[in-house]
Amino acid sequence: MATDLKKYDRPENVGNPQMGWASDVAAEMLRRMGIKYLSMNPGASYRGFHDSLVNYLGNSDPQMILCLHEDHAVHIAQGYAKATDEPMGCILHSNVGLMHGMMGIFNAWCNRVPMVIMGATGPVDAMKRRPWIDWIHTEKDQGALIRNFVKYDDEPRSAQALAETMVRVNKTIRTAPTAPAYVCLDAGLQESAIDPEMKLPDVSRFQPGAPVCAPQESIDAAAELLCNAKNPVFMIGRVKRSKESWDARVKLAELLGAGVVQDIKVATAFPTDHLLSLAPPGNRPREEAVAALKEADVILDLNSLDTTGTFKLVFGRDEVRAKVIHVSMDSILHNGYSMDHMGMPIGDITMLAEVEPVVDQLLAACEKKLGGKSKWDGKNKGRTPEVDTKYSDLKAGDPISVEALTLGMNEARKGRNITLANVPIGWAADGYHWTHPMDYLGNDAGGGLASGPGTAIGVGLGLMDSDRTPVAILGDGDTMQGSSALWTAAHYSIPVLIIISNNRSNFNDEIHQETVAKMRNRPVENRWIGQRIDDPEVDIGRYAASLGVESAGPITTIGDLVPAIEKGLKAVDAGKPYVLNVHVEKGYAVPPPAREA
Amino acid sequence: MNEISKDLKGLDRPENIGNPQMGWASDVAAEMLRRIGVKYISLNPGASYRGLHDSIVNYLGNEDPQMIICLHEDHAVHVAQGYAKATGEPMACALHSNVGLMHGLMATFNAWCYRAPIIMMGATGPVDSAIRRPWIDWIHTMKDQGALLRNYVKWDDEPRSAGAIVESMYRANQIARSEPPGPVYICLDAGLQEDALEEEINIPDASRFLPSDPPRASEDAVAEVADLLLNAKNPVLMIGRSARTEDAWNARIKLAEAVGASVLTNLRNAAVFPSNHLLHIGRPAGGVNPPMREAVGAADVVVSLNWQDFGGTQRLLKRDGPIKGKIVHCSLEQYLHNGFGMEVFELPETDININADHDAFVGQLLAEIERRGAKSNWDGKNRGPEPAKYEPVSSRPADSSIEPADIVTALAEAQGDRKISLNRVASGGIGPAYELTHPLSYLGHDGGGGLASGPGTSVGAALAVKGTGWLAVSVLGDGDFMQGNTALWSAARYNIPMLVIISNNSSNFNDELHQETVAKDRDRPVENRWIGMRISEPNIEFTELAQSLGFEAGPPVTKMGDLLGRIEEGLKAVEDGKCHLIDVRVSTGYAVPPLMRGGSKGE
Repeated sequence: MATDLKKYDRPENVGNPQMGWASDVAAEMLRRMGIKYLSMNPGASYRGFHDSLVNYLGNSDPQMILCLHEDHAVHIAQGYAKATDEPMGCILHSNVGLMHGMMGIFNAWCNRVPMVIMGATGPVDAMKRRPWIDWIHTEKDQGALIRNFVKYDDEPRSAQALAETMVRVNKTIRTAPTAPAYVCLDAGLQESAIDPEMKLPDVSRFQPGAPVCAPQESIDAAAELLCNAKNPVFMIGRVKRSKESWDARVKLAELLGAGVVQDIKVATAFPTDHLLSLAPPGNRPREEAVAALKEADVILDLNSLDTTGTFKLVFGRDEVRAKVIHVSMDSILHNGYSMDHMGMPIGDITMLAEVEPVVDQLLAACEKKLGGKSKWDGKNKGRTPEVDTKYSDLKAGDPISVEALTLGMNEARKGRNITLANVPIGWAADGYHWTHPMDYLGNDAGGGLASGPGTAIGVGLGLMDSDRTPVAILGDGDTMQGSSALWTAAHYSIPVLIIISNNRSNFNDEIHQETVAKMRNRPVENRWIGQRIDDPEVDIGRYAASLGVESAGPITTIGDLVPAIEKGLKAVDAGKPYVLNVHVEKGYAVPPPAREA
Repeated sequence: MNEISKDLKGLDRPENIGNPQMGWASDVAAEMLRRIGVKYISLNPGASYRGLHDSIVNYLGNEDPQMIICLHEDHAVHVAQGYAKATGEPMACALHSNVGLMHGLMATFNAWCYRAPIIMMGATGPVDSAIRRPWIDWIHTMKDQGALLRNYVKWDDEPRSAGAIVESMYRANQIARSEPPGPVYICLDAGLQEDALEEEINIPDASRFLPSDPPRASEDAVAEVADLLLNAKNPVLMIGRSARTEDAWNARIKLAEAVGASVLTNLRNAAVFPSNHLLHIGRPAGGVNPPMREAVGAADVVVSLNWQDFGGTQRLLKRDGPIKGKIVHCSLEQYLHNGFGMEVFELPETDININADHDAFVGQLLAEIERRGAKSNWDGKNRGPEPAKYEPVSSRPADSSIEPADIVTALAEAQGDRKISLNRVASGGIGPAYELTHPLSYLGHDGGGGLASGPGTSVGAALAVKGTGWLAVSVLGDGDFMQGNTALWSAARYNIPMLVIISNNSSNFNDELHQETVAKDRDRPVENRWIGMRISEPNIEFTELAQSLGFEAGPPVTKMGDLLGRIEEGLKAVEDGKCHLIDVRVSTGYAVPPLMRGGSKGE
């Protein structure tokens, strides 16, 4: 736990509190599960639980992180998990807070992050309800609202059942594929006294199992294909943040001479400056990646986010002739409700197993088969690691494109271990290399805007006391949907640099309107209507300042950019949040695919 | 910016649209919005409804309905709720796919609990998986999106053809507007939206699909209640959520006067009866106050005209003993009750239960009383307690601190001849001075107790009264305001004049009281009640925040001596067509503390 945070919101005179109430059990179990923080927006439905956190646990392990909206609370927990692979908790007040937090939960679900969502309902016993308010804040089976996009939910009916629920939650959310779980606490139960003889379960006896390996037969068959392949390609999707598994992937690619494609939507999985990295990650595969995939005879798909979609972009209607080895646990979470399972992936060999152990298994099998000798000639498989345009080539007086912003960030990062919490749609990944698993943490996953500020702050929270400097680069539309999350960063002095890539529009949607207008032979010049966030422009710098976050901007020319970023980074070094508003030109380095007629 | 002359219609004008022909399924949906009389559609854009978006801009010319762009779906829905609060009429909002819908769900619940009609237009990624783009169209497609809100909208549909859209939209309109009104949701498949029409779509005339005149009480019931009222010594009318028209307002006054009934109202609803009428009991409140209890205790007949939570209110009224008078309850509410939400409230005791529209019932009773030629038994005297004396803000010591209730008092003092449409009040309630004298003079609360509603509903209510001579004013708590603050930008964007006054206690203070209750119950330190509640360190600078979103705002008001002048200044700004915000730093506390749930030791 970040020691600094302990100074905030200290309770007094708690003495030596005894566990006496059902909500104390919920609080105690969270501590035993190792939950460090609970982001929350308060509400009377969980006042019993709130009391237990403050006056029973002393607001420590877990400590409350006060937010101004449940959308923020959930996204902060997502950001924390993105940075640490560990769950934190959040609390959502009754039905209304849950509804406010639902989109954040969907984002977290799509990002497969572990998270404990504590909820509450008004008293399920009608006799205990106050007139009006307790009735509007009580619903039957609140978990039904989110059951299709959490891994597990429960509404326990006794203190003992609650303890059982919590160990199940702990095990479930930490078992791959990780995902959020929801526990709804009846307000009546929270405030009931417990049996003094009650025993809590020992969390260590309810731990998740070891990572799931693939059957040796599948590994052998895959190794056979890979070792004999002329042009093997890895498509790497969602993987863990550990450096060991990063190194193992590099080792496997080098052993087999495999080109590597990764996806900008998820956290970085492979060094982009490696000679085997085929192309900078983008919203669609870049030309070098397309060419390599077309030439490939074996494709190792390591938990790609959307294998079928990538194939559709690369091969169109042509047959995928390469043999595809599909490694993923994701199908465990698929249901008939949400289409986040994407198109049906090809699996000539399918392994329902986790990427990290499978890479180790494949390494062992391939090393054995190849006698430890690498198949790679050491040559560059993809694009040159050098960028076409350099920051020094840009003109100081010019306006700033998103590409220039990328290059400017790259210029300003020197000497620091930057963790990019998010990047905007137009990010020019060829201007900024990722060489460590903590260099980039992926985007919102559910495509639900408002996530940027919250996840950035969660990442900042997760990286306090580390040697990483968190930076988030957010679109203005996304920022404004979740903007008041900044107050939480100010209140707890959570260091994070938030750079607004501000094109004063929901610009991605302008592109969509242009597409539709063209299809219909209608005027494309109206594409801005109902999209532009302008006239008046939101003064984002002043907005941030009003919430207690130091800010600068708008920065409008190249020459001012790097000094402004450096100033922001220094503020973060000093332990503070900082917002930098950068006006960027409308346009993308790599446009995302627009649906055609 | 913000000149009143810069009218809404001058904004966001499409160019070169020529004479567009209805050619796409989404054009049908847009056309239907116009046919059912929707003037505005609040939205936060998204690719799932790009077809509909194009149809509104390039087919309808962004007019009837005109788009009101918001920065969050929470705002879009609340804007529509605010518009309905003021007008009783539905406007539309658009919610992008599953994610925008999820963002808008809490506001939908508020609108549902408020019984606000809204045409909610939604969209899903292509239901035909063959036309989905990689990734994004998959994460933004869910099966049966309406299931997310089916339990708290009146109706929903996901039509599968252009012709079915016509049917769907007429039904949506009819259901949303029928008593009790409420939100409806139509999900448009992105694939269908972008389908070209293969043949001309025959759209029958809207006049053939109008909502029904609301259901009436039986003649027997009318006669029975008329008997009761005319023979009663101390009849009481408890008036809940009601029609927004002046006619209905006048009819309620006429009925009360005709039978000499004392009248109770509730601040959760918009104004339904003049608060300064001699028959109105006490000041309007959010709960039950002693004069109300006294009036019901003395009553020989109690008639609930759609009183919300009649059962729970009875429980509070019965503290001094059972209700001895005959109880009549006229409401259509039970037709919206389901097993999911407990906004059914406690089952009320009733001697005569009437499933009818209560405003229509008022008309029926008046006709019956007139037919009988009955004379009013009201002596013309004040029925309630004498209005409590209070010290005007103008005569208080200039450096005294400001209590939450003082804000509305100052507003009343500054009002003069102005017509103020007050969308909301915060923890200070309505105070001793502000009078509800017209259906628009006060618009009630959020409905579902879901915070973030204040700014959005205020923008919607201000949109509704723009250009009518009514001045849109809201008094919002800081916790509620901060959850929905960026909604202000939409008002600035569309030059919607409004005054927002923040009743700023720098805390989620209501919850502090709850923590105190629990701590006492558990013998734990009450001094920690502020932890995880206070919105301070840093204090939010509302002035700067409002300015950053295009509002004008001065420095915070911290002393009584500045309050009246600043509110006068704010009202003048609204008269000049401006968006204005005042941050008033108030003491923590309530005029009338809300009811706390008793802990294990009871109340």
